[in-house]
Parts: sequence; C-alpha cells; structure tokens
Amino acid sequence: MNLYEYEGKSLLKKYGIRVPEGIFINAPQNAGSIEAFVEEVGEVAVKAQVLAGKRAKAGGIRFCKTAEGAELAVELLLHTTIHGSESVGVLVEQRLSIVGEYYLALTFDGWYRAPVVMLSQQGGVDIEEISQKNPEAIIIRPIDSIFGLPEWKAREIAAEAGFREERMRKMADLMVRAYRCFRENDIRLLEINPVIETPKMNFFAADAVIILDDDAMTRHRDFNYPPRGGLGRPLTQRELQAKLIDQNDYRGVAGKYIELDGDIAMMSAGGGGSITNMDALISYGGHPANYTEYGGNPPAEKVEKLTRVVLSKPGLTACWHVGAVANNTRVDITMEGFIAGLRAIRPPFPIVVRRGGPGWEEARAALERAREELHLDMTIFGPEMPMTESAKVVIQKSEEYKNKLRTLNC
Amino acid sequence: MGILVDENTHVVVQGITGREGSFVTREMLRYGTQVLAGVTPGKGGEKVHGVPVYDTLKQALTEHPTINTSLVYVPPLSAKDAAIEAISNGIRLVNIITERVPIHDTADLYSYALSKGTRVVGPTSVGILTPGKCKLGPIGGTNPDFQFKPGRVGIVSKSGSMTSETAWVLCQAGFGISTALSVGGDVIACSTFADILPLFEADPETDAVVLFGEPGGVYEEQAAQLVREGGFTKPLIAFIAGKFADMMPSGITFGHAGAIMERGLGSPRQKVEALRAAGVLVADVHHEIATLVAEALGRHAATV
Repeated sequence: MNLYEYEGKSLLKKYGIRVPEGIFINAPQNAGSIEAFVEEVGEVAVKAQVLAGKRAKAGGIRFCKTAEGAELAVELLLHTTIHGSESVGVLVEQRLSIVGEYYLALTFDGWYRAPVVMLSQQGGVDIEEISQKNPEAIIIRPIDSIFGLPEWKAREIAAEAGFREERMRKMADLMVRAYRCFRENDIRLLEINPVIETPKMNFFAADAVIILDDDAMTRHRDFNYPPRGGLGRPLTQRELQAKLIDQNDYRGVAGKYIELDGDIAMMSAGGGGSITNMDALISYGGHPANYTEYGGNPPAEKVEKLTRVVLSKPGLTACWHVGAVANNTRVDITMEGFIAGLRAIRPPFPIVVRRGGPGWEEARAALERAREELHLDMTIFGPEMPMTESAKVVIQKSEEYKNKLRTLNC
Repeated sequence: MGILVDENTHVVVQGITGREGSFVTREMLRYGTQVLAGVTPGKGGEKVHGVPVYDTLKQALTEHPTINTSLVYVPPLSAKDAAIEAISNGIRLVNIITERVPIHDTADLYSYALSKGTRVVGPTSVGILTPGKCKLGPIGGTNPDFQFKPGRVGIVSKSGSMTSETAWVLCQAGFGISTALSVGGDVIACSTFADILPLFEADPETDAVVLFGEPGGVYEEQAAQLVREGGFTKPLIAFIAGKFADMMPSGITFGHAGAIMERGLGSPRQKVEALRAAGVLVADVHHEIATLVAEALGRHAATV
C-alpha cells in the first residue's frame, strides 16, 4: 500500500525525524485554520496529496506568501487529479529556508538480495537524471537484514557520500532513524527526496514516499489507512466488486481484476499462466477486456463471483477461460463456480475453455452438460491443446461473433 | 541424477498438519518420496497419513537423523521462523512453498542461509521434482506422471503453474524432464536462475534447460550474464512472460528508487534482449519452447 505524503510524514515523525510544520486539509470547510497558520509560520507550500510521482512538475505544489493566496491554492488543489491520481486533500506546510537538498532512500534490491540504502548530496526533482548521468553521485550500500543499520555503518555511508563532520553525524542519525522506521513498519520503500538542510544545519524530510508491505499487514493491526487503488486511476465499479471477493476469506485468491479496453473477457488461472496467456492473446492480435488471475485452490463461490464480474463488462465478443495444467487447484470445483456464473449471465458470445489438472475429467463433463443446458457456444479443450495455442481459437471465435453482429446490424 | 532432490532425499514437512500441508504430504508419499517426519508446534505425537508429527524440528531429527530436506508449508508470518529453525538444525535443503512472506522476513532468512551455506529454494516455490525419484512439494499436483516423464531437460521457473505447463509442452513434444523446480517470483528469491543453472551444468543427466521468467528484478539478466561468461554452456531455452504489461494502467511510478536501482533493466523486453544477446533461444509464445528445445538439441521432436 502506498502512503500519501501526510501519512508518511506522520510516520517519520514518530521516529524523531523532523518534518516541516503543517496542516492537512481534506474538505473546504476545514480550510478555516489556514489564515492563523500562515500568520504563524510565514510563507507556505500547498501540496496536493496524490499517489503519483513528478507532482511538482505537474503543478501539484504551490508556494504562497499570504493567507489569501494559500486559501486559493488549497481550493485549486483540493480536488485536482495528477497523473490519474485523485487528490485526497492538501498539505499546507511551512516553507523552510534551504541551504542543501539531499536524497535518501531505503528499499530492497535483487542484485544484493537485501535492503539497500541510497544516499546522495544531489537530491531534488532531477535525481533520476543524476543517476543516469553521474551514477557515482548516488551511494548505494546493502544492509545486512539481521544486523540492521548500526550507527557506525550509517556514519561510514554518510562519509562515503561526501558528508563531513557535523553534517555527517546528523545524516547518519537521520539514516538510523529512517531505517528503524523502515524495519519496524514493514516498509518496502521509504524515500525522502529531498532531505533539506536549513541554515541552522537541521535536516528535514521535505517529502515522504512510503510503500508498505501488503504481505505484512496482519502484524500491524494498528495501521488505519483507508483502502486505495494503486493503478494511477480510481477503481472501476467492477474492480471494486472484485476486491470484495477475497475480503475476509483467505481460501485461494479470485479478486484480482483490472479492467482494460478490449473485447475478449479473460478468466485466467495462475499468476504466471495469466500473464503468459495475455501475451499470447495480444501477440495473435486479440484485445483483452480485462486482466485477472485466480488461484491457490479457491472455493467455487469465489470463482462464480469473479465470473460474474468478468462477464458483466459491456461490449464483450468472447470469453477465454484459460489456465495451465493445475498443480493443486481443483479444477472440478473452480469450473463448478464458472458454470454457476454462466448460468447467471447466460452469455450470448462464444466461450473457449482450456484447462487441465486435478479433477479435469469431471470438470469437462460438467462443462459439456452446461453447454447443452444453457445453449452456449462453448469450445472445450483439455491439456491436448497447447495453452497458448488456444488463443488463436478464441480470437477466431470472437471475429465470427463480430461478423454475425454486423450482419444482424446490431 | 537430476539436481537437488533424488531417491536419497529424506523429507521433514514443517506445517504438516495444515490443510495444504497434509494434502501435499499424502501426494508426496504416493509418489514414493521419503517423508520421514512432520513438525507442527503443539501437535507432537499425532500422525498425518502415517507420518509422525513432532513439536520441534530438533526432536524430528533425533528420531530420524537421516532427514536432509525440509519442506516449509507454514503460514506467511511463520515462514521465517520455520526456515531459520531448519537452517539452524543443519538441514541442507529448505524449500519454502509459502506465498506472501513479508520481504523483511525473506531478507532475514536469506542472510542467515547465506552465512550457513544452506540452499533455500523459495519462498513462493511450487516445489522440486526429479521424475521417478522424488517429488518435493505440490509440483505436479495429484498426477505428476501426466507431464513429468523422466528425461534430460531441466526446468527452472519463477511461476509455479508454468513449471508444470512447461513440462507438459515438452512432454507432448516427446521430451522428458531431469529435474523441474520453481524458484518463486519474489523480489528476493533465495535461489535465483544464476544459482540453479550451475547445478544443471554439473548434472550429467541434463542436456538442456528451459527457463521461465517474469517481469521485474534482474534474475533473468543475471542468467544471461552467467551464460555470457561461460558459467552455463548447455543449450538454454527461455520464455519471458508479461510483455503485455506495458499496456496495463500503472500510473506514474511512485518514488525514484526503483528506477535508479534497476539501472534500465527489469522489463520483459530488456530481459529478452539480454538473453538473446547471450545466445539463449527465446520463445515468443510459450508453446514454441518445444520447437526451440528440439532445435537446440539438433533433432526433431517427432523422431524422439
């Protein structure tokens, strides 16, 4: 889960990391406190709270010297959308005098297979360009996960990045605090860009990008962050429905659903299988209406719900229910759920099934019965048909259906 | 031969009394895998399909000193503890099937395994199978003989379901398997392609290897580097899934660290380029791997 800046900063604050004084406003009626705040702190930065990078360059941050200006900026940014991410509010912060801008990040890396700290004296909006043009300007060091980041190690890293004397000591202290926050909250990415240095040589987190580990949420029952999409656009109605499928039911997974622009409905099983089949469909010229992957031996009712979501999208011309020869997922049970969904929707368009694995023969027989009973145009393949080859069949079926619609003038 | 598991693999299942753990124990026994013991804290003294259950791994080892392999089938938040328990007790191969292990936990257990020289495969592995000798984990489901015939092609895959599907595609083309395994697709995989390929290189019963990759990370690029540097000289055939990912709504990346760390690598297109540049045969569509294996081994599938 990605945190908004104001959420991230309040987490950093708990670890003694300085953040600029600020107020969070999420509705116009809460904007009354701005005047007093601007009077108290002077110049402010008004920052849209979105889950998207490159916010400043997209106009999501305004600097204001007066209360009137700040109020106007709040109004402007309260309901803005930046790179597809809707603002959930604004953060009005004291604008600090800056004598230095640095970059600090903690994340995980496959090269080292460990947490890494990334530190640079050249922080700010151009950090990615700096990393390309002058990679030595960013110090990247792995951290032994069991050992953590002790102060001496943090001092060494700060010194290697070019921090000297008191500055070095303060940067090391900031790193140790940030690492504790990273570790204790199961954070996958903690990025402070920039860390700013004020004339009194105090370091502040001027921004906070934090991604929590969804896999560790159950050991942080105190977290109270409202649900949010991570797609760069709000969730669609069907995506929201799909999300509910797995809520409070840990038997298998059937709630991953992402809506796309195409016309071929995907009912795909298994993570690796699903992306392999998406590739196959697209490479043969098909257009998927959605992405989904169900797996881990889900019960029939979950698959039924997913089927209803997938088949309810308007404008479909075919459905491809496809998966590898399953290892553990009982395909007789998952197909029972699929058939229940078909019974509810009774799709007029063609369906192509390709599956195999535990219970496949029973599943095939049940699909054949359903085809007859519901008068479906359903082609059923078992493992004898190569999985990705069946993409061609569903595309052909979809074309035939489109032609039929055309001749019927609908 | 094959790699990692064979007829001398003596297994303890950690989390044997769970729904999935007990089911997979039955299937392993049916295959002929020597499952000597199980561990579930608090359930010592029980039996699961005739396999004795102990409270601690140490007790299991005292009673069954030949155990050399652990299958970790515990819930996600217990996986680190179970794996470190196995490593601490001197188990030489630890296979973690558990999915959704928190990444800080994986980093801890990987660091510990590295310091002890223990081979860990996973998390998010579907298991390891050497046909006719040993099935470790759910790999192959209830009927592994269907697609895992004995033979001379190795499979190493990030995806579990595609390990079996890849074996099936090869089987239909007349090829058998030396050993197949999935290493999982997590950011930190305790065994990577580049860790596994040298084992296949050293295995006299493996003639070629099929690699199944997925978007993200640099493990495919590291495999390409290994081949380029001569660390793997047998024919390598690859398929990289996820080329469609470019069309998914992803928004603007959150934070810069990912882009800086990946150094321009990580996308399926870059992985395919890196592998091809190293001389690896890369299939555009999955079922084409069989043709490429046949080509690489210099014979036609139909004549095998």
